[in-house]
Amino acid sequence: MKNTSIYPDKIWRLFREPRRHGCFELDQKPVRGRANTPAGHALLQIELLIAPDGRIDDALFQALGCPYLIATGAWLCAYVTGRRREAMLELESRTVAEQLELPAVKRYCAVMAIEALKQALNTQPVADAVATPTAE
Amino acid sequence: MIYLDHAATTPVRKEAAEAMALCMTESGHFANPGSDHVPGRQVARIVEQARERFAGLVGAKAEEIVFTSGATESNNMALLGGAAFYANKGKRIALAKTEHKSVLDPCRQLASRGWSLDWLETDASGLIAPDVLAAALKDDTCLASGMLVNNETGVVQNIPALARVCNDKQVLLHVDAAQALGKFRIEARRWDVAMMSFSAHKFGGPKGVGALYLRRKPPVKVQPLMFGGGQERGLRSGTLPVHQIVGMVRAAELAEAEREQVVRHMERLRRRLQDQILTALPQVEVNGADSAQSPHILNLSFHGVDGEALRADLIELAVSSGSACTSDHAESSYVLRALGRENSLADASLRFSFGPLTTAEQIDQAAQRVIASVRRLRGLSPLWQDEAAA
Repeated sequence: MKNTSIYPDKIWRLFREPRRHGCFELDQKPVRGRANTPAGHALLQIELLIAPDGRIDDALFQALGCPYLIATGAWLCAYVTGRRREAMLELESRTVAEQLELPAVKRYCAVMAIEALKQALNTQPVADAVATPTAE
Repeated sequence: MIYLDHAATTPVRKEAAEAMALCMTESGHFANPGSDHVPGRQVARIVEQARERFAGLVGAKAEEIVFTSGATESNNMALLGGAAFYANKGKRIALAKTEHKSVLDPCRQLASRGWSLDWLETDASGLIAPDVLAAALKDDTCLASGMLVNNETGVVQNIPALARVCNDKQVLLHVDAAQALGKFRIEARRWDVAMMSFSAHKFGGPKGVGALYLRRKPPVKVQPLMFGGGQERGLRSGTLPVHQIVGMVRAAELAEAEREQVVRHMERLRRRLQDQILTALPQVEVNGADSAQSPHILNLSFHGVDGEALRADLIELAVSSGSACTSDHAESSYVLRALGRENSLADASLRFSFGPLTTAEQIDQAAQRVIASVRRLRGLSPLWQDEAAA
């Protein structure tokens, strides 16, 4: 599709046709992380399926926010899928911002992406948390 | 592309463009109306005939109309010029926060020079009650300003009632009528307002021309903002843009002649768009006043979506949002925030505005695109799903 928007091609494509959005079924035992802006106007959620050997098998996102945030969520899920948990704990927002060529005013999208990702990587599966709420 | 932004500007009417073309080239009426020769006097007559016709369309006399570069200049001239002339009566102005920036900013400029601004409370739709205005006017209030039709919400003030309050207290009422011509019969003298601003490009005329009504009985004076050749009885120096004036007046005549038919058409379009969107989507707010609403504007706020994403996704629609957003902290419509909408909801708002040539098919297409985009973005949002699950 021709991009006549104010957004760069990469962002526009990811925003208009975002893959990997949604949620996993609880019985798939996803882990989940969320990040929002200080004003609370934007929210990014990442869900991961992590294999016992530490490989990220699949990732899905949900976002309430601008096209850059939606694009960042979509990009991040594609990026982490197939990579190892330990390696993704080292991922920095700077890398995300560079990969997506985020303008300075939109760097917060990369910061949110890393915050949500690390929260997911460091948490227990959603199904377990639901089953044992005190474990949080 | 579906153009639903006629409150921002309208295409120039063909008849207006043709009238303008006759006043530009060597074979036409290009002379300076201030020149004391035959072609100049001919053009001066054209200008005066145009003034008389325009005055008739807004319920005024020719000598009460000053041609300007548009509503921004007219508003500045009324407020800065009026304030300068009447400063000895008192340095106080009453107005609402929902005014256009070309009213707010001159008033803030006056505030920086020692004037006091009294902000008028409106109801949730933006209407100013006459008794609220009466209570706000103090002994040293010199001017009040009100909008006939709000440019974002389309809410229509009861200008005759507000004018009566002002006249009782000997306060000069300026009315920004930029959005009104062609949608409402304007009666400047009968309403007894002191000043009224107009802009040609809102009703099928060219950009860069407008008018200010200055009441003669009792007379209203302003200090000029422009000095030079003394045109417009010394109130607005500068060679008159004859082609612009002729284009504005031709467009105004068409707008007034077609007004009743066009208003009925736009009322149907507005209802059609509102019904389709509100039927298909939950959690949509209408920003306006059922009882006092201009037919050419529909302003909706959408819960559960981000404003920038919504505007981006509706790339095939030319609509307006009243917001300027470059960051996470987008500045949403100050008008909607003044009416109590929280920032994120004000940002997720769209103003659809219709023209005489807008079709029902365009409205249906726009409705389908809005519905699809809002559903898509809500479908991406974790909060919307949380709420749906709750």
